[in-house]
Amino acid sequence: MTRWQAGAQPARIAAVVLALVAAPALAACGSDSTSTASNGASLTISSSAPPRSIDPVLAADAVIDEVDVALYDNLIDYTADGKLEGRLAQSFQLAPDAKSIDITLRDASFHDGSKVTAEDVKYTLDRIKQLGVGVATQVAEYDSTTVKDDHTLTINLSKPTNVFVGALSHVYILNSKLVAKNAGADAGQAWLANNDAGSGPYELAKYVPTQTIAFKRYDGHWDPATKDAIAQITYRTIAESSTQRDELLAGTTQASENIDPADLSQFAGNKKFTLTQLPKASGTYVIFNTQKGITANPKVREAIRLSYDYQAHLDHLLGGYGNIATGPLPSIMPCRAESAPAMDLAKAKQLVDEAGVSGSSLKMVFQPIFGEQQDAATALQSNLKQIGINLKLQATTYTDYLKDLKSVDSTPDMALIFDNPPTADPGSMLFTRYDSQFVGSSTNFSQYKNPAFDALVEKAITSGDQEQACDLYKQAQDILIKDSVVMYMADHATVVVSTVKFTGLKQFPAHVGWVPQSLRLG
Amino acid sequence: MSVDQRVATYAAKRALACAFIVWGIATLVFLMIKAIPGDEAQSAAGITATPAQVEQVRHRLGLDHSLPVQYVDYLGRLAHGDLGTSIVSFRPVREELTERIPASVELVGSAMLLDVLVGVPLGMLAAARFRRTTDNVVRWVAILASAVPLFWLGLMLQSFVGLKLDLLPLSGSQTIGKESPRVTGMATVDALLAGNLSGFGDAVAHLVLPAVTLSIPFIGFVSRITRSSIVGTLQSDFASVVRAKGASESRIVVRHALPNSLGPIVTFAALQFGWMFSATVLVESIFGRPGVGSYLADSVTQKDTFAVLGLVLFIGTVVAVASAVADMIQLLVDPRIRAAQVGAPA
Amino acid sequence: MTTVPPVLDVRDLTVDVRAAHGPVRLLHGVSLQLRRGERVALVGESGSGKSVFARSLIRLDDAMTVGGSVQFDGADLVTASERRLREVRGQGIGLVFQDPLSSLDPVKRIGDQVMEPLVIRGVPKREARERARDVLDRLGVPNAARRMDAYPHEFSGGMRQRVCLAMAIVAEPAVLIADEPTTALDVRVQEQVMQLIEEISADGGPAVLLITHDLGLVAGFAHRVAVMYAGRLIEVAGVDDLYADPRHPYTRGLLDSVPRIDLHEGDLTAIPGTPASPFHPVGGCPFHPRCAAALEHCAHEEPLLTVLPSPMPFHDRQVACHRAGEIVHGRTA
Repeated sequence: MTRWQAGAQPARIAAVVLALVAAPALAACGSDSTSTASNGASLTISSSAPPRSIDPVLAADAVIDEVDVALYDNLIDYTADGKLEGRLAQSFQLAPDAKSIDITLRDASFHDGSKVTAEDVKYTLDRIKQLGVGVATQVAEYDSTTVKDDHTLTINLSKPTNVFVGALSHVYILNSKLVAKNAGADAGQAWLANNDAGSGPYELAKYVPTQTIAFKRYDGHWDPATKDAIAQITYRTIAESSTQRDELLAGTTQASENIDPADLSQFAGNKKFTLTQLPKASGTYVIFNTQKGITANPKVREAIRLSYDYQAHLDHLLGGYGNIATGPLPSIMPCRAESAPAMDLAKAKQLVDEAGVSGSSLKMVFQPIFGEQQDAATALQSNLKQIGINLKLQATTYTDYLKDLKSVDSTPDMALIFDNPPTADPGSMLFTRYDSQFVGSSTNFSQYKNPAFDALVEKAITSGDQEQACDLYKQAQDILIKDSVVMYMADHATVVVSTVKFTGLKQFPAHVGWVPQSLRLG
Repeated sequence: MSVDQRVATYAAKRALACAFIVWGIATLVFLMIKAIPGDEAQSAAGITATPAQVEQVRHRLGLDHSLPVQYVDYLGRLAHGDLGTSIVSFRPVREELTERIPASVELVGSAMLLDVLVGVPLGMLAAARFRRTTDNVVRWVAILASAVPLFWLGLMLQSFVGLKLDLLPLSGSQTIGKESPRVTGMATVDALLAGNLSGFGDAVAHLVLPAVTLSIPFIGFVSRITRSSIVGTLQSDFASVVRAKGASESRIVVRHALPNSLGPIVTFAALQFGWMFSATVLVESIFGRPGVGSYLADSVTQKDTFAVLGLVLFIGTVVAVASAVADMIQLLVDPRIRAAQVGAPA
Repeated sequence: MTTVPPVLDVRDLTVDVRAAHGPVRLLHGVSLQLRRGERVALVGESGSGKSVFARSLIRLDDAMTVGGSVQFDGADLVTASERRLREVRGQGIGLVFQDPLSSLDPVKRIGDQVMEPLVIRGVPKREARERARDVLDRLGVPNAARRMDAYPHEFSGGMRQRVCLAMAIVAEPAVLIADEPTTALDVRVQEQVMQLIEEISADGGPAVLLITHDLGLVAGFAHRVAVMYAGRLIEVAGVDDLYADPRHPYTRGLLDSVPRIDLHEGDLTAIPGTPASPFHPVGGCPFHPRCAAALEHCAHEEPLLTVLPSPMPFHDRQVACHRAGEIVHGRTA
């Protein structure tokens, strides 16, 4: 007896299948997959997210700002150590009533060779006002521009504010004739989304939306300091942190600032890589509802601040990259008041008892898409249990959180968030986050109402004297600290991993991402 | 009318039905926009907009009209390819989609090709070796393949084939400096159109890992469907008759069982198109490829309503067209369906 | 005279299938010879193993385990390689099945299906097509050349069976096995198809094994008849002997259930009881539970197929019944 076999034919099918699988792999072997090595004149950087547009009106978005800061010049910017400095503005002067700014432009030319004029500044600011999006909220007090001649102009404000000067760091001056030539009915939004109309240290050499942005140094730039900037810089979009890590290991990119802390350990101790830590104008905060519930009591807020283990947060949640927060403003901001919190459970418990709130429950929202927030929320929950407060956690999204802030009643007791100052001016954060006129407007997260604080900050903002303003800001921050209005947990840091040595790798207060013109190789 | 004419008429009818489905999806999308809680003008103007700015947007988008008027306007805009404006980038959604769709089509298309070229023969092989070792091995591999998490698979392939063996590029869609002028937006096709062979090789090399990653779970599904469909056909009488003619097992499977089993396979493959477009998000993220996947994820997290709905419309249309094409393929392969749909020839 | 070697010599054929509780035997050592030009009918109720016998000769089913020997064209098909078997299928032994509709691939053109046995063997397309057309012509398919481009669903039942016959004989096999070729057809067409098969086998055509449950078809067609019950041959005889003098009570029962012009309808007798099932074998003679002539002995000992003297030359008469000697015309004397 025999069981018969179906013969050799299926083997032929199998061979075909194998051939199909193997063919692409063989084809791929023929092409070279390694890129040219960095020759010192060029640099490839991986970034997590591509800009959805490179229109400077949207430069309030950090990803877009990262591109525009290279392509465009602003009138004024902050230096790495937090001082205002004229860029296209040869000089600038805030009027004593803080209602106008006189500006004299330096000789500069756009990438097409035409001169930068006062008309271009006027066009740019008017366009921002007309569109009402992006940086428009940062320069909301803009009223009009008076052009005196090609090089001199006055910016008129609708109400007194000195914060406006710092906000000009996100106003990138457009080549008005070029934009007007390409503008449709949308004030050039569609065209500027993919095109360069700037005078900045770099020109757009190649732009493949969603994939790569290549910059070429603009040799006609007015600033002699940019003459020896890196000749070519390319950003490649790679969403996944681990892929960015692998590309660095493979040598196809030379730098990244978006590697997850978990992936950073791969580079530690590897001599091929340099890790540079830069403080960042952003941090982790717990916001209290200061108007309603037991968090309206400063003692309760202080108790909560004293219950948390800040060192553990830095060591375990941030992998040691960053700093324990020391004040309401991130550590790289100017005009700060400092008071580092320290964990003191005994004192916290005592405060809870004094306030008579032992056994109470509080609700805290957080955004689960951020691992750090999720872990910090859980840690705080267990710390608060030890001082007799039951913390309930609730997931949210940033948009939903902003909606909750529309009224005091819907504002959660506590919110764990990441926050950063809207502009590099300390007033921009102190004013919009804590002034009582923003209660119920979704920028005063704490719904904080304190006339003494309001008076200080409003006086500072309308002052024509920057030094006096700085002093007033410090006093205002002292109130916030004493009143335990906000629980600042940690300041973030950017960790740049690179296969090349940089100099000039600095964090600029007005810019969250790379400022490529500041980089030098070697 | 000749058979060809009748087939053409049927194709036209099917295309019309397809247009109706797309219209239905568009209407559904419109209702979804209206059903989303919150003020549409407010979300279009942005969370920080002043009331005056919101009113300006409301007027510009025609949201101050009655619903039926808005609906007609909406369809009119769609007919002109206007999908609205992104509330994140303030660019037309259509423009953003045209930047991303070709790359996804390239990825999904090649994954689909692999899916069919590997999945179907694997299923045929398993069916031909029904209940023998080969069959069991293929079945287990298929179950594993359809269960493997895409994300994990992508990272493994990337770090093994890309980094350790250094055979293929890790990410991106082409090497910077090897690009060809953009015509279709698909790196491989553009390189061919430009006659740039090294660019083509480069683009294909970049495409292999993501396409293989995306196709593997689908190969698992398709081979199982193919196997069960062919096993069913092989048990029918005519398969015995063909065997009694002296045909080899592979001839029976390839020439007879496959054409008879094509219906479920083609229908299933058409459905996969929609799933694949949704699954690209992970693959595109891992392999640093631009495309609709990352756009969808982006738009959802940023609540970019018009962008999301534009994508829903696109993917819905792809599925509708794919299923129409599947029907046409069945019609061309199966004379019985042809007879039922277009009438038997004299 | 009996030295003429049979074209198909089946000896002691057994077939087993795997079932949940171990193998089940479908055929219990069947032996049957087919000589050149001979037409043999294999009859029995459905489930008796007739179709299994036909299919197992060329090992059509993977799931069946075949034993014994099938000598054909100098090879034993039971042990032959798959390659050798493929040569025999279609070209050595042609097969026609019961349902002409399900026997045809619904998505292939008629012409291609008829040509297939030739194409498989490397006959050039053009020649294969001509031969297929000739066969279809010969089998009375009108407009054969044009109709070859049609699909099965465009044919009537009788035409389809002609196509099936064409597929079975196009490669000119030495043996044609027709498994219930007319069951699915209406009476008028049945006669035409039987007529065709008879014509095919004449003039040096293939030896025919007709498998049927309908003894009515057999009378004018077969030279010899083999009766199968429960996977065994229980009677083999020349057609006239069998009709005139059935020796097995089961054969008698079968004959009685055939409508005949010379009998009234009221005399028609169906065999009592249910047919034997391979899944519930009984001891002794498999027919004894239904046999009116059964003795106690029949329940314990299985009768063997034994040769009885026959008045006809070459036509050995064989019966498997303990009481064969006592039975005349199927009834105990």
